[in-house]
Amino acid sequence: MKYVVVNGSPRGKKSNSDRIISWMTQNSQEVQKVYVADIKKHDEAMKVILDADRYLMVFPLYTDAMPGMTKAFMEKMQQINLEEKSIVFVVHSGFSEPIHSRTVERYCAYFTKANKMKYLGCVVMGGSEAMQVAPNGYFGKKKDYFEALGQNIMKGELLDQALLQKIAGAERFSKFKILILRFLPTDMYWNSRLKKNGAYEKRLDKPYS
Amino acid sequence: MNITIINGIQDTKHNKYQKTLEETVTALNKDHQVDMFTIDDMNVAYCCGCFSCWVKTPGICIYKDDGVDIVRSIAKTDYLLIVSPVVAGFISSSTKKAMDRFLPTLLPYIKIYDGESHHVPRYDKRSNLGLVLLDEGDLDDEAVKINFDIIDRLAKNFHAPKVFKACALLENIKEVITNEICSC
Repeated sequence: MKYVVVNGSPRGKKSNSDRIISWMTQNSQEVQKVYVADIKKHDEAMKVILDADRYLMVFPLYTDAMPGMTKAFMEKMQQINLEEKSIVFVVHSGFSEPIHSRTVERYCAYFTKANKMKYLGCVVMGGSEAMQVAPNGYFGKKKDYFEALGQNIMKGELLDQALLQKIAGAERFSKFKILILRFLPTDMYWNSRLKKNGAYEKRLDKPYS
Repeated sequence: MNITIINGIQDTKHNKYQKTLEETVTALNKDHQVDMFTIDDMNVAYCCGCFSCWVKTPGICIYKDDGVDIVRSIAKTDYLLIVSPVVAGFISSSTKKAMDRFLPTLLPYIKIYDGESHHVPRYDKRSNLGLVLLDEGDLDDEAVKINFDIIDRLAKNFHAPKVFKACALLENIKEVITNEICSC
Protein backbone atom coordinates (compact mmCIF):
# COMPACT_ATOMS: atom_id res chain seq x y z
CA MET A 1 0.00 0.00 0.00
CA LYS A 2 1.31 3.41 -0.92
CA TYR A 3 -0.03 6.21 1.20
CA VAL A 4 0.13 9.83 0.08
CA VAL A 5 -0.85 12.85 2.13
CA VAL A 6 -1.98 15.94 0.27
CA ASN A 7 -1.47 19.13 2.25
CA GLY A 8 -4.19 21.32 0.73
CA SER A 9 -3.18 24.51 2.48
CA PRO A 10 -1.79 27.58 0.67
CA ARG A 11 0.41 28.06 3.74
CA GLY A 12 2.28 24.84 2.93
CA LYS A 13 4.75 23.71 5.55
CA LYS A 14 3.74 26.47 7.97
CA SER A 15 0.08 25.48 7.88
CA ASN A 16 -2.38 24.32 10.50
CA SER A 17 -3.03 21.47 8.04
CA ASP A 18 0.56 20.31 8.48
CA ARG A 19 0.07 20.14 12.22
CA ILE A 20 -3.08 18.02 11.84
CA ILE A 21 -1.21 15.80 9.36
CA SER A 22 1.60 15.28 11.88
CA TRP A 23 -0.96 14.13 14.46
CA MET A 24 -2.60 11.73 12.01
CA THR A 25 0.56 10.22 10.59
CA GLN A 26 2.86 9.97 13.60
CA ASN A 27 2.49 6.18 13.74
CA SER A 28 2.47 5.68 9.98
CA GLN A 29 5.44 4.47 8.04
CA GLU A 30 6.40 5.49 4.53
CA VAL A 31 4.10 8.42 4.11
CA GLN A 32 4.79 10.65 1.15
CA LYS A 33 3.59 14.23 1.37
CA VAL A 34 2.70 16.62 -1.43
CA TYR A 35 1.90 20.31 -1.03
CA VAL A 36 -0.68 22.06 -3.21
CA ALA A 37 1.08 25.33 -2.30
CA ASP A 38 3.83 24.26 -4.71
CA ILE A 39 1.68 25.26 -7.68
CA LYS A 40 4.42 24.71 -10.23
CA LYS A 41 4.83 21.15 -8.97
CA HIS A 42 1.20 20.04 -9.43
CA ASP A 43 2.04 17.99 -12.53
CA GLU A 44 4.96 16.37 -10.75
CA ALA A 45 2.71 15.62 -7.77
CA MET A 46 0.28 13.78 -10.07
CA LYS A 47 2.93 11.12 -10.65
CA VAL A 48 3.03 10.54 -6.90
CA ILE A 49 -0.77 10.52 -6.75
CA LEU A 50 -1.02 8.03 -9.60
CA ASP A 51 1.45 5.70 -7.93
CA ALA A 52 -0.41 5.60 -4.58
CA ASP A 53 -3.57 3.80 -3.56
CA ARG A 54 -4.53 5.60 -0.35
CA TYR A 55 -4.83 9.34 0.25
CA LEU A 56 -5.35 11.78 3.05
CA MET A 57 -6.25 15.28 1.87
CA VAL A 58 -6.28 18.07 4.46
CA PHE A 59 -7.36 21.62 3.70
CA PRO A 60 -8.58 24.79 5.45
CA LEU A 61 -11.95 26.33 4.60
CA TYR A 62 -11.46 29.39 2.34
CA THR A 63 -14.59 31.38 1.48
CA ASP A 64 -16.85 28.41 2.18
CA ALA A 65 -14.95 25.71 0.29
CA MET A 66 -11.48 24.41 -0.52
CA PRO A 67 -8.80 27.02 -1.37
CA GLY A 68 -8.51 27.90 -5.08
CA MET A 69 -5.17 26.16 -5.50
CA THR A 70 -6.55 23.02 -3.83
CA LYS A 71 -9.41 23.04 -6.34
CA ALA A 72 -6.86 23.36 -9.16
CA PHE A 73 -5.07 20.31 -7.71
CA MET A 74 -8.34 18.34 -7.54
CA GLU A 75 -9.06 19.22 -11.18
CA LYS A 76 -5.72 17.64 -12.08
CA MET A 77 -6.54 14.57 -9.96
CA GLN A 78 -9.85 14.20 -11.80
CA GLN A 79 -7.93 13.73 -15.05
CA ILE A 80 -6.15 10.57 -13.89
CA ASN A 81 -7.58 7.16 -13.09
CA LEU A 82 -8.24 6.97 -9.35
CA GLU A 83 -10.65 4.02 -9.46
CA GLU A 84 -10.72 1.82 -6.34
CA LYS A 85 -8.22 4.04 -4.50
CA SER A 86 -9.36 5.15 -1.05
CA ILE A 87 -9.43 8.66 0.35
CA VAL A 88 -9.94 10.52 3.60
CA PHE A 89 -10.51 14.27 3.85
CA VAL A 90 -9.99 16.72 6.69
CA VAL A 91 -11.67 20.12 6.45
CA HIS A 92 -10.72 22.56 9.19
CA SER A 93 -12.03 26.04 9.64
CA GLY A 94 -11.44 29.16 11.69
CA PHE A 95 -15.17 29.20 12.48
CA SER A 96 -16.11 27.23 15.57
CA GLU A 97 -19.17 25.46 14.19
CA PRO A 98 -18.92 22.54 11.74
CA ILE A 99 -21.99 23.79 9.83
CA HIS A 100 -19.66 26.06 7.79
CA SER A 101 -17.75 23.08 6.40
CA ARG A 102 -20.62 20.65 5.76
CA THR A 103 -21.32 21.71 2.17
CA VAL A 104 -17.73 21.25 1.01
CA GLU A 105 -17.74 17.95 2.92
CA ARG A 106 -20.60 16.88 0.62
CA TYR A 107 -18.45 17.90 -2.35
CA CYS A 108 -15.57 15.74 -1.05
CA ALA A 109 -17.94 12.75 -1.02
CA TYR A 110 -19.17 13.69 -4.50
CA PHE A 111 -15.60 13.98 -5.85
CA THR A 112 -14.81 10.52 -4.43
CA LYS A 113 -17.90 8.99 -6.04
CA ALA A 114 -17.34 10.73 -9.39
CA ASN A 115 -13.84 9.23 -9.50
CA LYS A 116 -15.08 5.77 -8.46
CA MET A 117 -12.90 5.94 -5.35
CA LYS A 118 -13.57 4.54 -1.88
CA TYR A 119 -14.69 7.17 0.62
CA LEU A 120 -13.40 6.42 4.11
CA GLY A 121 -14.78 9.64 5.54
CA CYS A 122 -14.23 13.31 6.22
CA VAL A 123 -13.12 14.93 9.47
CA VAL A 124 -14.56 18.38 10.11
CA MET A 125 -12.86 20.53 12.72
CA GLY A 126 -13.65 24.09 13.77
CA GLY A 127 -11.59 26.71 15.55
CA SER A 128 -8.39 25.77 13.75
CA GLU A 129 -6.88 29.27 13.55
CA ALA A 130 -5.97 28.85 17.23
CA MET A 131 -3.43 26.28 16.02
CA GLN A 132 -1.13 29.14 14.97
CA VAL A 133 -0.48 30.00 18.60
CA ALA A 134 -1.82 27.23 20.85
CA PRO A 135 0.33 24.39 22.23
CA ASN A 136 -0.74 20.77 21.67
CA GLY A 137 -2.17 20.66 25.20
CA TYR A 138 -4.76 23.29 24.20
CA PHE A 139 -6.44 20.77 21.93
CA GLY A 140 -6.88 18.26 24.76
CA LYS A 141 -8.05 14.90 23.53
CA LYS A 142 -8.59 16.11 19.95
CA LYS A 143 -4.98 15.35 19.13
CA ASP A 144 -5.50 11.75 20.33
CA TYR A 145 -8.71 11.46 18.27
CA PHE A 146 -6.82 12.55 15.15
CA GLU A 147 -4.12 10.01 15.94
CA ALA A 148 -6.76 7.26 16.26
CA LEU A 149 -8.31 8.32 12.94
CA GLY A 150 -4.83 8.05 11.45
CA GLN A 151 -4.87 4.41 12.55
CA ASN A 152 -8.21 3.92 10.75
CA ILE A 153 -6.53 5.12 7.55
CA MET A 154 -3.56 2.79 8.01
CA LYS A 155 -5.94 -0.16 8.34
CA GLY A 156 -8.05 1.00 5.40
CA GLU A 157 -11.09 1.26 7.66
CA LEU A 158 -13.99 3.69 7.56
CA LEU A 159 -13.34 6.57 9.96
CA ASP A 160 -14.75 6.08 13.46
CA GLN A 161 -18.02 8.05 13.48
CA ALA A 162 -17.90 8.62 17.24
CA LEU A 163 -14.47 10.27 16.92
CA LEU A 164 -15.65 12.42 14.00
CA GLN A 165 -18.52 13.61 16.17
CA LYS A 166 -16.20 14.37 19.09
CA ILE A 167 -13.86 16.42 16.90
CA ALA A 168 -16.70 18.31 15.21
CA GLY A 169 -18.59 19.15 18.41
CA ALA A 170 -22.02 20.80 18.34
CA GLU A 171 -23.26 21.54 14.84
CA ARG A 172 -24.48 25.00 15.82
CA PHE A 173 -24.21 27.22 18.87
CA SER A 174 -26.78 26.72 21.60
CA LYS A 175 -28.73 29.80 22.73
CA PHE A 176 -26.74 29.69 25.95
CA LYS A 177 -23.42 29.71 24.08
CA ILE A 178 -24.56 32.63 21.90
CA LEU A 179 -25.28 34.56 25.09
CA ILE A 180 -21.84 33.69 26.51
CA LEU A 181 -20.12 34.66 23.24
CA ARG A 182 -21.60 38.15 23.49
CA PHE A 183 -19.53 38.75 26.60
CA LEU A 184 -16.32 37.05 25.51
CA PRO A 185 -13.50 39.23 24.15
CA THR A 186 -13.36 37.33 20.83
CA ASP A 187 -11.65 40.27 19.07
CA MET A 188 -8.60 39.94 21.30
CA TYR A 189 -6.61 37.58 19.09
CA TRP A 190 -6.98 39.78 16.00
CA ASN A 191 -6.40 43.02 17.90
CA SER A 192 -3.17 41.71 19.38
CA ARG A 193 -1.93 40.77 15.90
CA LEU A 194 -2.97 44.19 14.54
CA LYS A 195 -1.20 45.97 17.39
CA LYS A 196 1.93 43.90 16.91
CA ASN A 197 2.03 45.11 13.30
CA GLY A 198 1.28 48.72 14.22
CA ALA A 199 -1.95 48.47 12.19
CA TYR A 200 -4.56 48.62 14.97
CA GLU A 201 -5.64 52.19 14.19
CA LYS A 202 -6.26 51.19 10.57
CA ARG A 203 -8.22 48.03 11.41
CA LEU A 204 -11.55 49.37 10.11
CA ASP A 205 -10.09 51.11 7.03
CA LYS A 206 -12.11 51.10 3.83
CA PRO A 207 -9.38 51.72 1.23
CA TYR A 208 -11.68 51.32 -1.79
CA SER A 209 -14.82 53.15 -0.67
CA MET B 1 -26.72 49.80 -10.55
CA ASN B 2 -23.07 48.78 -10.20
CA ILE B 3 -22.59 45.18 -11.30
CA THR B 4 -19.49 43.02 -10.84
CA ILE B 5 -19.22 39.84 -12.88
CA ILE B 6 -16.64 37.17 -12.08
CA ASN B 7 -16.18 35.13 -15.23
CA GLY B 8 -14.49 31.86 -14.25
CA ILE B 9 -14.34 30.21 -17.68
CA GLN B 10 -11.00 28.40 -17.88
CA ASP B 11 -11.34 25.69 -20.51
CA THR B 12 -11.71 25.73 -24.28
CA LYS B 13 -14.96 23.77 -24.01
CA HIS B 14 -16.72 26.81 -22.57
CA ASN B 15 -14.98 29.47 -24.68
CA LYS B 16 -18.05 29.78 -26.88
CA TYR B 17 -19.80 31.50 -23.95
CA GLN B 18 -17.30 34.38 -23.95
CA LYS B 19 -18.82 36.23 -26.91
CA THR B 20 -22.34 35.90 -25.50
CA LEU B 21 -21.18 37.13 -22.11
CA GLU B 22 -19.52 40.15 -23.71
CA GLU B 23 -22.73 40.90 -25.61
CA THR B 24 -24.66 40.59 -22.36
CA VAL B 25 -22.32 43.09 -20.68
CA THR B 26 -22.69 45.53 -23.59
CA ALA B 27 -26.48 45.32 -23.32
CA LEU B 28 -26.42 45.77 -19.52
CA ASN B 29 -24.04 48.73 -19.79
CA LYS B 30 -26.84 50.81 -21.38
CA ASP B 31 -28.55 51.09 -17.98
CA HIS B 32 -25.86 49.95 -15.56
CA GLN B 33 -22.17 50.13 -14.81
CA VAL B 34 -20.73 46.66 -15.33
CA ASP B 35 -17.23 45.43 -14.46
CA MET B 36 -16.60 41.96 -15.88
CA PHE B 37 -13.47 40.16 -14.73
CA THR B 38 -12.40 37.29 -16.95
CA ILE B 39 -10.08 35.67 -14.46
CA ASP B 40 -8.18 33.49 -16.90
CA ASP B 41 -7.14 36.57 -18.93
CA MET B 42 -5.94 38.38 -15.81
CA ASN B 43 -2.94 38.23 -13.53
CA VAL B 44 -4.55 37.07 -10.28
CA ALA B 45 -2.57 35.17 -7.66
CA TYR B 46 -4.10 32.51 -5.46
CA CYS B 47 -4.78 33.74 -1.91
CA CYS B 48 -1.88 32.49 0.21
CA GLY B 49 -3.70 32.79 3.56
CA CYS B 50 -1.23 35.34 4.98
CA PHE B 51 -4.01 37.48 6.54
CA SER B 52 -2.07 40.66 5.67
CA CYS B 53 -5.39 42.14 4.52
CA TRP B 54 -6.66 41.70 8.08
CA VAL B 55 -3.69 42.30 10.38
CA LYS B 56 -0.97 44.22 8.49
CA THR B 57 -2.54 46.43 5.83
CA PRO B 58 -6.27 46.30 6.68
CA GLY B 59 -8.39 45.97 3.54
CA ILE B 60 -5.38 45.71 1.20
CA CYS B 61 -4.12 42.43 -0.23
CA ILE B 62 -0.41 41.61 -0.12
CA TYR B 63 -0.55 40.94 -3.89
CA LYS B 64 -0.48 44.04 -6.10
CA ASP B 65 -1.96 42.27 -9.12
CA ASP B 66 -5.25 42.41 -11.04
CA GLY B 67 -7.03 40.98 -8.00
CA VAL B 68 -6.94 44.52 -6.52
CA ASP B 69 -9.37 45.66 -9.25
CA ILE B 70 -11.79 42.92 -8.23
CA VAL B 71 -11.79 44.06 -4.59
CA ARG B 72 -12.16 47.71 -5.66
CA SER B 73 -15.19 46.81 -7.77
CA ILE B 74 -16.80 44.61 -5.10
CA ALA B 75 -16.44 47.31 -2.44
CA LYS B 76 -18.90 49.47 -4.44
CA THR B 77 -21.04 46.92 -6.21
CA ASP B 78 -24.78 46.43 -5.91
CA TYR B 79 -24.72 43.02 -7.56
CA LEU B 80 -21.97 40.42 -7.54
CA LEU B 81 -22.55 37.79 -10.20
CA ILE B 82 -20.39 34.70 -10.49
CA VAL B 83 -20.45 32.91 -13.83
CA SER B 84 -18.66 29.57 -13.79
CA PRO B 85 -18.34 26.31 -15.62
CA VAL B 86 -18.59 23.16 -13.50
CA VAL B 87 -15.19 21.46 -13.45
CA ALA B 88 -14.81 18.17 -11.59
CA GLY B 89 -18.30 18.77 -10.17
CA PHE B 90 -17.54 22.18 -8.70
CA ILE B 91 -17.11 25.82 -9.72
CA SER B 92 -13.83 26.20 -11.60
CA SER B 93 -10.51 26.81 -9.83
CA SER B 94 -10.33 30.19 -11.61
CA THR B 95 -13.68 31.14 -10.06
CA LYS B 96 -12.56 29.88 -6.66
CA LYS B 97 -9.28 31.76 -6.96
CA ALA B 98 -11.23 35.01 -7.45
CA MET B 99 -13.59 34.19 -4.56
CA ASP B 100 -10.69 33.68 -2.16
CA ARG B 101 -9.49 37.18 -3.01
CA PHE B 102 -12.78 38.66 -1.64
CA LEU B 103 -11.27 38.36 1.86
CA PRO B 104 -10.15 42.03 2.21
CA THR B 105 -13.84 43.06 2.00
CA LEU B 106 -14.43 41.43 5.39
CA LEU B 107 -13.04 42.27 8.82
CA PRO B 108 -11.35 39.53 10.84
CA TYR B 109 -13.87 40.02 13.65
CA ILE B 110 -16.63 37.50 14.17
CA LYS B 111 -20.21 38.24 15.20
CA ILE B 112 -23.26 36.06 15.55
CA TYR B 113 -25.71 36.49 12.67
CA ASP B 114 -28.83 34.28 12.65
CA GLY B 115 -27.26 32.00 15.25
CA GLU B 116 -24.03 31.42 13.27
CA SER B 117 -20.64 33.04 13.53
CA HIS B 118 -19.71 35.17 10.51
CA HIS B 119 -17.18 37.85 9.75
CA VAL B 120 -18.19 41.49 10.07
CA PRO B 121 -18.24 43.27 6.67
CA ARG B 122 -15.60 45.98 6.09
CA TYR B 123 -17.72 48.08 3.75
CA ASP B 124 -21.20 49.48 4.30
CA LYS B 125 -22.48 48.36 0.93
CA ARG B 126 -24.48 45.11 0.82
CA SER B 127 -24.59 43.52 -2.60
CA ASN B 128 -26.86 40.83 -3.97
CA LEU B 129 -25.12 37.64 -4.98
CA GLY B 130 -25.77 35.48 -8.02
CA LEU B 131 -24.34 32.25 -9.42
CA VAL B 132 -24.85 31.13 -13.00
CA LEU B 133 -23.45 27.70 -13.86
CA LEU B 134 -22.71 27.03 -17.51
CA ASP B 135 -24.82 24.07 -18.58
CA GLU B 136 -23.73 21.90 -21.46
CA GLY B 137 -26.47 19.43 -20.65
CA ASP B 138 -23.88 17.46 -18.68
CA LEU B 139 -24.54 18.78 -15.18
CA ASP B 140 -25.86 16.28 -12.69
CA ASP B 141 -28.39 17.32 -10.09
CA GLU B 142 -26.23 16.48 -7.09
CA ALA B 143 -23.31 18.64 -8.29
CA VAL B 144 -25.65 21.54 -9.09
CA LYS B 145 -27.22 21.31 -5.61
CA ILE B 146 -23.80 21.33 -3.91
CA ASN B 147 -22.69 24.39 -5.90
CA PHE B 148 -25.95 26.22 -5.17
CA ASP B 149 -25.60 25.40 -1.47
CA ILE B 150 -22.03 26.74 -1.46
CA ILE B 151 -23.35 30.04 -2.83
CA ASP B 152 -25.97 30.12 -0.09
CA ARG B 153 -23.13 29.77 2.41
CA LEU B 154 -21.16 32.52 0.66
CA ALA B 155 -24.24 34.79 0.74
CA LYS B 156 -24.43 34.36 4.52
CA ASN B 157 -20.74 35.12 4.99
CA PHE B 158 -20.85 38.18 2.73
CA HIS B 159 -24.18 39.40 4.10
CA ALA B 160 -25.96 39.40 0.73
CA PRO B 161 -29.60 40.48 1.08
CA LYS B 162 -30.64 38.33 -1.88
CA VAL B 163 -29.10 35.30 -3.58
CA PHE B 164 -29.85 34.00 -7.08
CA LYS B 165 -28.81 30.64 -8.50
CA ALA B 166 -29.33 29.29 -11.99
CA CYS B 167 -27.95 27.01 -14.68
CA ALA B 168 -27.79 28.52 -18.16
CA LEU B 169 -27.28 27.17 -21.66
CA LEU B 170 -25.46 29.08 -24.37
CA GLU B 171 -28.87 29.80 -25.94
CA ASN B 172 -30.40 31.43 -22.86
CA ILE B 173 -27.55 32.76 -20.72
CA LYS B 174 -28.05 36.35 -21.91
CA GLU B 175 -31.74 36.15 -21.05
CA VAL B 176 -31.08 34.51 -17.66
CA ILE B 177 -28.62 37.24 -16.62
CA THR B 178 -30.54 40.25 -17.98
CA ASN B 179 -33.86 39.03 -16.52
CA GLU B 180 -32.23 38.63 -13.11
CA ILE B 181 -30.59 42.06 -13.23
CA CYS B 182 -33.85 43.68 -14.40
CA SER B 183 -35.74 42.07 -11.50
CA CYS B 184 -33.54 43.86 -8.95
